[in-house]
Amino acid sequence: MTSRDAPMPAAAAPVSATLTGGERPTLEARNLTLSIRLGQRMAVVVRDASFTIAPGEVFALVGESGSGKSVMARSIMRLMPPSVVQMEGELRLGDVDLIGADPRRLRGLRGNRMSMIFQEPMTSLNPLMTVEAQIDEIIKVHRGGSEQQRRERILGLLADVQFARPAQVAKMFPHELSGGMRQRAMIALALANDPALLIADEPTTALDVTIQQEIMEILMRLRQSYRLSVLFISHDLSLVYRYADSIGVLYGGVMVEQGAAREIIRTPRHPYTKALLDCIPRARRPGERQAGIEGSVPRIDDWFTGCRFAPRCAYRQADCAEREIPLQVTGEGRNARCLYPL
Amino acid sequence: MQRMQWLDLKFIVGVLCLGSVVFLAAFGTILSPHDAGEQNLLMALEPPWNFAEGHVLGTDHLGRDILARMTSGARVSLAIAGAVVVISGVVGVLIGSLSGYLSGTRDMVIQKVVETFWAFPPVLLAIAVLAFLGQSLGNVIFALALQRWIPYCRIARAQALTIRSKEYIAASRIMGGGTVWVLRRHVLPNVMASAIIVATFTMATAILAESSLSFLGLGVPPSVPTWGGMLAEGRSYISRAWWLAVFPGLGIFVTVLGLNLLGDWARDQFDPKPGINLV
Amino acid sequence: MLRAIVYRILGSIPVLLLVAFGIFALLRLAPGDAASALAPEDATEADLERLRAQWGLDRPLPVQFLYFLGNVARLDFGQSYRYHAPVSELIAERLPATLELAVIALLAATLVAVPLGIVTALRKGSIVDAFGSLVAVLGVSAPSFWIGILLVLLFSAHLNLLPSSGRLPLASPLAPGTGFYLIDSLVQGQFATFRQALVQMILPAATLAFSMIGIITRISRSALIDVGQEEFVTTAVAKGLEPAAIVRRHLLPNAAIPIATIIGLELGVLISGSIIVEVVFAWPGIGSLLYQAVTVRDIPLTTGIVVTYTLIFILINIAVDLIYTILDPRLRSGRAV
Repeated sequence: MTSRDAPMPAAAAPVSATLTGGERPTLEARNLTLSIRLGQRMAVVVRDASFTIAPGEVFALVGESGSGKSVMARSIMRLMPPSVVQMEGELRLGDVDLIGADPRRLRGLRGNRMSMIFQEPMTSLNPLMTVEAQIDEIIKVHRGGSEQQRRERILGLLADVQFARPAQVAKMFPHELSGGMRQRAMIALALANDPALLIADEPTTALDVTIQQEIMEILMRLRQSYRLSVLFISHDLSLVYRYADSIGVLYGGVMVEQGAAREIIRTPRHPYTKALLDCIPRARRPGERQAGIEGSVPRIDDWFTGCRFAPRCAYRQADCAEREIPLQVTGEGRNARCLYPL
Repeated sequence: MQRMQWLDLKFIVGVLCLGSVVFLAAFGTILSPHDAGEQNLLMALEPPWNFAEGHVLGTDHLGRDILARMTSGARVSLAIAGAVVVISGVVGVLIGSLSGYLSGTRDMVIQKVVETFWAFPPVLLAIAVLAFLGQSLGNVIFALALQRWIPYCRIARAQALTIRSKEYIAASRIMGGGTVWVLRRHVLPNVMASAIIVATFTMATAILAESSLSFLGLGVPPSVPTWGGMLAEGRSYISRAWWLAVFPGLGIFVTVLGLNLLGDWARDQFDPKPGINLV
Repeated sequence: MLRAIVYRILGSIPVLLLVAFGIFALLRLAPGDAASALAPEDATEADLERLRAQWGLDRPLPVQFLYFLGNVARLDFGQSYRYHAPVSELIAERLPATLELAVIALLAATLVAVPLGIVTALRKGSIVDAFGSLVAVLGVSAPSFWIGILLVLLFSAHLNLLPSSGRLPLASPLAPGTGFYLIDSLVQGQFATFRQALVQMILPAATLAFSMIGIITRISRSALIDVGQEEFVTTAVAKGLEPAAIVRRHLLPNAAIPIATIIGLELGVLISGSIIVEVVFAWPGIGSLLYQAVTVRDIPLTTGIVVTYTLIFILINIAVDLIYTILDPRLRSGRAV
């Protein structure tokens, strides 16, 4: 029996590859739809995204530029004001409703229960404050404690991100640090209050390849020691598949495939995922060309009927462009938004 | 919604202000039956709104019609400022484009010259020029343009530097396109938008400067009525005749305000900055 | 950092020379024969002789330039025709008046304009912003001499509240000191004189401040908005900080440096821009002195004042540059950002 014959549920329950029974997910999104203000009207950027992240799980959200992943990351942190981004659906951090929470509540959560690190370490730190001062600030706001306690915590954090001389680094200004060092300082900052969730928005994209490795290792080690859930945003599947527990593939604002990382990589069920995997540069036989994907990502507010990927899909069928594509369960804890999963 | 309204208001008010001054310059002589230099001591220091004698804005201490003199002042200010803007604009864009495009030592030398011109305090340089070289219309325009070419130079140079590093320029040079061609086709069109914005602000400062010079008696020859000159002459009589102080200054103010508003509006269109988001 | 300072000063030498040459060129480009063209009609033969000796007018041009440089270096511009006193003395006597007025005006303008600029930036697009921007554009558009005259008309002529000219009444008991009356009167314990000096300053300073408020408001607003776009502000929000704390600890300190820099630069512009205000209010500074000198073609005096203004302007710019280098920790260590 092929997937063509099976009845399709309208919206599948969100999956998490590592959620154990009874445990509350760290982050849960159901039918999350994000619309952004473009001039006078609202344009839908992400539609009907559903996923969960369990405690200690690394969830990689993969997509090209224009897929909506950055808007997603910032919206989860509630960094965008309601006048710019409208959020519909459900989004919960533990038991807290993120969409309905008032600004005061959100401020209490940011930097405390959920933290974020950004893509550009060069510009993400206040150039006029020392590393110590910037970490001290986040601790003071949420935890307090005596000066001594805070200082100890800061040094401990800096050691955790593998600074050989934490006391020295603490007194330095951002411009005295290299890109990799700044990113590590940002990680220390983000983990200062033991958050449940760390959102990493392409943290290694702006860094050298060797440094990338370092940062990923540090993040993974910290995930263990801090029992941290990580939402890792990236455009680079090759970077992500070594470290992620689960992967969600975002295309044109739609979550096209989700599931355990190993399975997705080994047997991709959505044509886009397969195409992405094919694009990863690797040793090729002589004569074999580097693969690419023909065509380009749909524009931000161009919501044509049918599958978002259909215009570029090598496996498309006639009805792919004609109807709404529902989620299809494609295995244990995985799904794909495709009429004809591979 | 509130934002858009403010922007549109700038444009509307700006056009109204500038428009009324241009209208005055163009049609003022029709509106007033008197000549700007026509003295009539019997009618000296007449208050405004005197429609019977045709002195809508009153007369000065020599009985000369204020409206007629205002018209002359409008023409002088607009003409001089216009000339200054055109000359400084052309010179500035040319020098800037060349400087940026040629790059290297030649650029450095030119930039040193720019720095030198920029090192003079603004109004002072104009005063010095007129003090040493004498007063004439040409000298006034020269004095005012002496520093105003620099903003144009800067934007043109920035554009030229950007263009220079683009690969297609290397390609077109290989194909035989000369410096002039590159400048005309690639640098100039991109500079136009910024140059127009610079022009509005430059014209505003030029009018302020020219009226300041006229006020000091350093502008065009005193026989030509200027707004600044009218203010200087009327200064001793203002306790008796407030219109001698209010109208000429109002002329300068409205013109400059119009230009500034339009310049602001134009800049907002091309380079709108988002607000601060602190959520 | 010392290296940066030395480099900066050395780097301004070519410009200084070129500036000096520019003034020299203006001086020599005056139409007609050297000495008599540069002198007023009532100049005596002795005056003309002095001119020739001072500026080396019968020597070849390059030598004349050296004479000129020498004079500038020694701040010796010869004798004024009109006042029959050394130019440098006349300037030294009246310079404090100009500086005092400029500084007070700038202080007043800053105290009003910086908060206004900040508030309009934080409430961009609101009524407050519209109001603040209105004030700013009015300040920048109104000619200072007009504002001055209107103020005199209102407060002196009609309301008779404030004096319309001068620095202190003639019968003032103030003894010579620094030349800065506000300082001198306090030092000498003459509080009535202090109050009087302040009152005399209100209208001219307000006139000067009016246009300054326009410029400084716009700059403050612009600087704050620019800082608001920086990534570290997003980081600060992600930390869960209150908006007030973000403004206080992240926005303002980073905006302060560019704002302070530009205000410092405006001081230079203000000093030479005060010429008009000095004339309107008969304020005894070098601005009104320049006006008188130009009117009677007193070339030594004119040259001296022009050089003085230019020197002050250049020195202020260099000083602001250096202070900026010191303030910004990014530049302090000499490393690029």
